[in-house]
Amino acid sequence: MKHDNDSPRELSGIELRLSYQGPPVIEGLTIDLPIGQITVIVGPNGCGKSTLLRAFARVLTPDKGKVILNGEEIQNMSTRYVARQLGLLPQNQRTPDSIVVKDLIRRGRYPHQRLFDQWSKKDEEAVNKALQITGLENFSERLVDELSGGQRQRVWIAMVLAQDTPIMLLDEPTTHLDMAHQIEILELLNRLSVEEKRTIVMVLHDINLAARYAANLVAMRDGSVIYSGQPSEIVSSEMVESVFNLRTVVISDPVTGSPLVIPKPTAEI
Amino acid sequence: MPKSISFITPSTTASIYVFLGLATTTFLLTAVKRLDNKEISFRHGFVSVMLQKRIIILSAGAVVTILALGLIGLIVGDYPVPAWKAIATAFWDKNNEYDFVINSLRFPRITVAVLAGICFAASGAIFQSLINNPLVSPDIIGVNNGAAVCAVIMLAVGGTTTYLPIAAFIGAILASSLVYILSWKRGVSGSRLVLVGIGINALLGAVITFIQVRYPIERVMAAARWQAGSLFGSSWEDARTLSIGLAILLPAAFVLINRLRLLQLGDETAMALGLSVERDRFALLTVGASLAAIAVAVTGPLGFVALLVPQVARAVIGTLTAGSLLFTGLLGGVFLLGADIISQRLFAPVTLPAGVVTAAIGAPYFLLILVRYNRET
Amino acid sequence: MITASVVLLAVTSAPILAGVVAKKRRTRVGPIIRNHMIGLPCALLVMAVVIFLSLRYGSLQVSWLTAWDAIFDYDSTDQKQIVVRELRLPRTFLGLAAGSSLALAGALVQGVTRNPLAGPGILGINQGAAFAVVTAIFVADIVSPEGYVWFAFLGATAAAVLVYSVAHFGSGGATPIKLVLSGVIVTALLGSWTSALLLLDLETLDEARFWLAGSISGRGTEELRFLFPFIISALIIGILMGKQVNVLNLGEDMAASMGQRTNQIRILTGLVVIVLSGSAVAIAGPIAFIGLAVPHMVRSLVGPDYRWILLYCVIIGPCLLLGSDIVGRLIVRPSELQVGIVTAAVGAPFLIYLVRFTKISET
Repeated sequence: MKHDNDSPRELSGIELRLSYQGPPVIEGLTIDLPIGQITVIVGPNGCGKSTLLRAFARVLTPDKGKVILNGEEIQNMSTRYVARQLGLLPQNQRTPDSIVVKDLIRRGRYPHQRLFDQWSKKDEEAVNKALQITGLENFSERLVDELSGGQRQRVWIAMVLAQDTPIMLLDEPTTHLDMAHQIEILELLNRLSVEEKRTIVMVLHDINLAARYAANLVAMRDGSVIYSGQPSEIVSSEMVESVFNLRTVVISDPVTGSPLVIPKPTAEI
Repeated sequence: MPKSISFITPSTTASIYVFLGLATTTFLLTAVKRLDNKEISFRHGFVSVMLQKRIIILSAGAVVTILALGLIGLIVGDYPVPAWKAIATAFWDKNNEYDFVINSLRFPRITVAVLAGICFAASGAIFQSLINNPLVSPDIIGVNNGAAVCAVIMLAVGGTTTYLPIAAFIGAILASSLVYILSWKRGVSGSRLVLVGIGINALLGAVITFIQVRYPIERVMAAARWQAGSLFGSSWEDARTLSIGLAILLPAAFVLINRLRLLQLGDETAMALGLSVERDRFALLTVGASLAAIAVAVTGPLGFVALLVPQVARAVIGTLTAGSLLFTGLLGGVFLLGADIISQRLFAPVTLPAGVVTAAIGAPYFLLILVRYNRET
Repeated sequence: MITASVVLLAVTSAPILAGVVAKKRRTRVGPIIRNHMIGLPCALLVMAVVIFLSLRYGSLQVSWLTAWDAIFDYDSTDQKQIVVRELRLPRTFLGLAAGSSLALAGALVQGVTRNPLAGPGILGINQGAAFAVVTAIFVADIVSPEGYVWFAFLGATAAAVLVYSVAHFGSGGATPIKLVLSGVIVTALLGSWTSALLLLDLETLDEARFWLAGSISGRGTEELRFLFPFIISALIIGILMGKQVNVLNLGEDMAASMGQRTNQIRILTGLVVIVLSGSAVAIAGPIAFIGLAVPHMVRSLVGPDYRWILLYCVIIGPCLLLGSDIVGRLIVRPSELQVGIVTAAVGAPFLIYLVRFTKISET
């Protein structure tokens, strides 16, 4: 029997083999995701980062191997319990027609609701807090269809926030967001990680943002983890070249001190 | 010899009433949109729920309309009954001259119309939310044709009407199960369901057409009548069947509505929020198909209600919630009851099956509503 | 009878076998027919076989030689040759015309509306034709198939124009979703009026039910001869629109940004669809399945590129229609089963098979 407030102590994948009914995308991967920290997964397109994230979110069942949460296999736990522990922001979101912002965010409260307990005080507070944090208070009655790509992305992030889980898995949360909002969301996630000790695992396509915000950076290529560790320790031009096939210069960010990757031109002009 | 169609001209008074009724309803529906949609949180003990002001008003309005239309249905007819007497006879005074007309003809018919309307509309709402396609109705899973095959066989081949509703119900459920099973491949995706549904519907349709061309015309006419959908001859037995069905299925639908809301967000998000996607989708399909199957078994295919009433409700309300499902059902009741009354009176003394009227009048009417909504947004 | 069944079975199971073989070899996921240098001639071969079977088989027993002679070495005194040339040949042409028209029209409608449930019927064409024909029977007692043709065509065109105008009303022109909704409404409207007439008069129902079942027998060649140039031009224009439909299928914004005049393309497609399915329903009666299902079947075989989908539809549509007609002639010999019935009975299992065993994309 699991307690609702069982805080996560361990989240890892063991000997994972993941595929989409064809050749495996990931084979024999073992990875440990540190609790209470931000882990960022980077890698070239098709390296399996989204696939890995989905396996942890329990949306994709491993062909072999298992995902462990607090010592138990995630596949054996009730879906509802898992939904209270893990929140997922998927990469492709399907927004139904004529849905209002507040309603979409509200649906994220489902794992906490019971048959007759549909709109508790906690639900209301969580939704309002999510609206406030993502800066969408004035948009709460607007139709999601009518919003810009970036605003829509923030609505989905707000939904995951309203789900209020100690572990958050986000697949490319910064898509469509302008720079200001990208930083805003990443700063928010940073705060959640530091102040509330939440575990955040996200896939980012921008290695500089990844290096800046990750406590633990995981670089993947062709279904395997090539590098993993603190950004300051692993990010180097050799690393970027072996992972992304791109020649770069890596310096220290003058503002934060984290590694800053600067691409070299690919051809002589 | 050519026939004249002059006897199918509508009576003037009836036309005026119909026109006024439609105009008022359109106006009211569009006016509601201007009301603010305040949320009311209701918390007491272990119950907490969010209600939307607009839906409460709309649902109340629908109930009032049903009652009003019900009264009209009791009053008008070949034997007009004064209003007060009608109510009295229906509810407490069973021993007067109007007893047969009211209690054996009109009252059961009104009840069946309302209940069937609720079934069809709710079923349509579930299907349209499950599969994001405006052409979707419970028909796609084979409910209508499944019921029709059994009914047509019974009427044309056997020539009997005993056990017809049961046969139709079983046919509907069997057809839907077949569609579901054939589209199962590690789960049921919306698009596979739609395509398999097309196939099964075509197959069943071929059987029906076969019977229509191969059997004597009188039997075929009887079958064709059933297929048009009609509330003629509705009995208390029918009303009882529908009530039992609704009593079981409607609460089930309300319990499942939140899962449907999550399924609308896509399978992945739904799974991440704690849903067993295939199991819940199956439950919703079962409830939706059963609602339609019971209604079709009693009245024949009135699929138009299931197709267009949810669209109108959605244009007025927007998102799917338990409240909007309730309103959609009630709107279906309003619509079918209204259509039935019109079908009896508009071309008096000729009566047309309700199925014909629902489409003939409903179609341009819904068009009007949709156009008005498109203009306003 | 046995040879016919064997050949038909081979013809219909060939794609299935190809699918199974492809799956066994675990080649790339994708359309089964990728090499059109082979695929097209195969499809044409299938069509030739079906045509020939259509000439050979029927309620009258005829030998292969007689059938061959009837076309290439006509002897007008041989009664069997007369049957083949005067009855079966026109019937075969009708089947070809109707089959390719319906399949192509269906593919175009699905491509433009991006809706897998759409067929030429949703533009109200079948219902319009049915309503016109039933009204003609009801009011004017017209009972000959030749008489129906013009009513059907007029009704079909009027209905389609109505659907289009209604969809055009309001902002944005005739967008896919408005077309679909408008089609649903007009179809329901016309359907209900038709039902009303059928239910009010036994004789009308008695007369109309055969036409409503769909058939390519008992038609003269006059109407086809008249409609033929229209059908051919519409087929050619339709096939050539493959590239435009591909672009349209990407979505409104994408198409506009690629410089496509979406409104004009939609109108042109609409006209082609009206001519094609209007002609088809005029000569064969309402046959809903071909326009709805053949595009899906073809798509599962050749993939999402409309240039090929349209071309293969024109070839495979008649195969299905004629094939079904042949079965209809043989199965209850000496009487016949209407082609509308058999098409669904034959095509539906095939469609379901394809849905289960191939990666079928929705639009």
